[in-house]
Amino acid sequence: MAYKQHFIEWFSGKQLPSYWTQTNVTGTGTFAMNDSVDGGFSISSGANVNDESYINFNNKRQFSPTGSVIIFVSKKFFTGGSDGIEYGGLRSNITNSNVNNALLENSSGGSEIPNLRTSDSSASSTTSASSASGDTSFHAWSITCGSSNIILSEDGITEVTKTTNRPTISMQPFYGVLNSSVSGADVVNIRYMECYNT
Amino acid sequence: MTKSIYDQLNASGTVSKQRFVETFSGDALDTDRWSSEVVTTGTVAMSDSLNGGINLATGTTSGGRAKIHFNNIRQYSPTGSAMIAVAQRNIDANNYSEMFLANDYSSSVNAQWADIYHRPDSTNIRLQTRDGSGYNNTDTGVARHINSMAYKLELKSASCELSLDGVVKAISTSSLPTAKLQPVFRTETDTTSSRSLNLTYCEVYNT
Repeated sequence: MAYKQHFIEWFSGKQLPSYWTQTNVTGTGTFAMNDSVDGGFSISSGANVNDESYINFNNKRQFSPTGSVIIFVSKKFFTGGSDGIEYGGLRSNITNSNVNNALLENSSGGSEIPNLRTSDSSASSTTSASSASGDTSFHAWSITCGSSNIILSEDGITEVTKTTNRPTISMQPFYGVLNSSVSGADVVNIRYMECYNT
Repeated sequence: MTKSIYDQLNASGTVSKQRFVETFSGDALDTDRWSSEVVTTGTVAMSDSLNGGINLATGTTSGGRAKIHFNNIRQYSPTGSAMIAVAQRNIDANNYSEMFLANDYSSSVNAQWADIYHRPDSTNIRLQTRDGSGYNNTDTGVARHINSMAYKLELKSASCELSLDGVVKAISTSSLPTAKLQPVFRTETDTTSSRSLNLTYCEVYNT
């Protein structure tokens, strides 16, 4: 079988590699390598509602909407689903959040239950995890984009299998945070990411 | 079906801890990951030679040094981590080459580290552990040499082990570091000719 696109990010070293773009979609976030054991890389949103900050590939989209996997190990520091939302996964356009994507949405709408959000070119929808909790521990998330469905897993357990509103164009990896409350900046950490076409 | 590297490194359902792998291959050191520094006129440069990796070379002034490190971004545990390095020194005499998991890259004052120690004051390779107030040297029984070797440091809750080419050769149970750690590699000359250390692989992970 011919080799396909595959990359790994360890989030370890003095700073984030320059092949990542750091984007403040709204507000001014903070991006920094963590000087702590197992700390990985930290992203903090701005302090205002709807401030959002992400790392991404600046719209270099090498991963298939119908044959790719993204795995990441991450955590959010906020509790209560109405405080902020941790986002990670695959997205076609970093500044247009609800078009052609497959992503973890952890969490939203006052719930601590993480969602799988997928979007095609015109519509977006979510399906909640069946048993996962959006707590403040590190978790290993994976999103598998197949030809007939998209699967979200947490720590090796399949949580969502979704068939609606699946992306149709190539995507890039991204990770970050949206501030959804007035309680100040929201922080997320990531210490591993792997993405590959299948 | 393509398998993930994640699943090959971790048991099913495991949330992985911090890890990185550095293969020291390409046109230059990855300066997003590593900081480098030299004292006097040393160099840190990718080697244009078979299995050369990165070359840390001193200048020709006694006391000259070359070093790479994480600029005190310390993500590795003093009680549960491991570092694997494949390295080769160019000349044995007057060559102070050391490979650390260290808390502070810049100072030996109140240092905390686990150190693979090649220094002229010891005929054999040593493991040195420091806890900020004292130190413990453990002899490996393996004479210093200039061959390529796979070194592994493993920090556990009550000990630190040094393996050479897959065989445990030294275990320290005193003066163990207690603070968070980063990889540090250095070489130094105490004569008027250059000394160097080549690195072809480095992997560090929390256990």
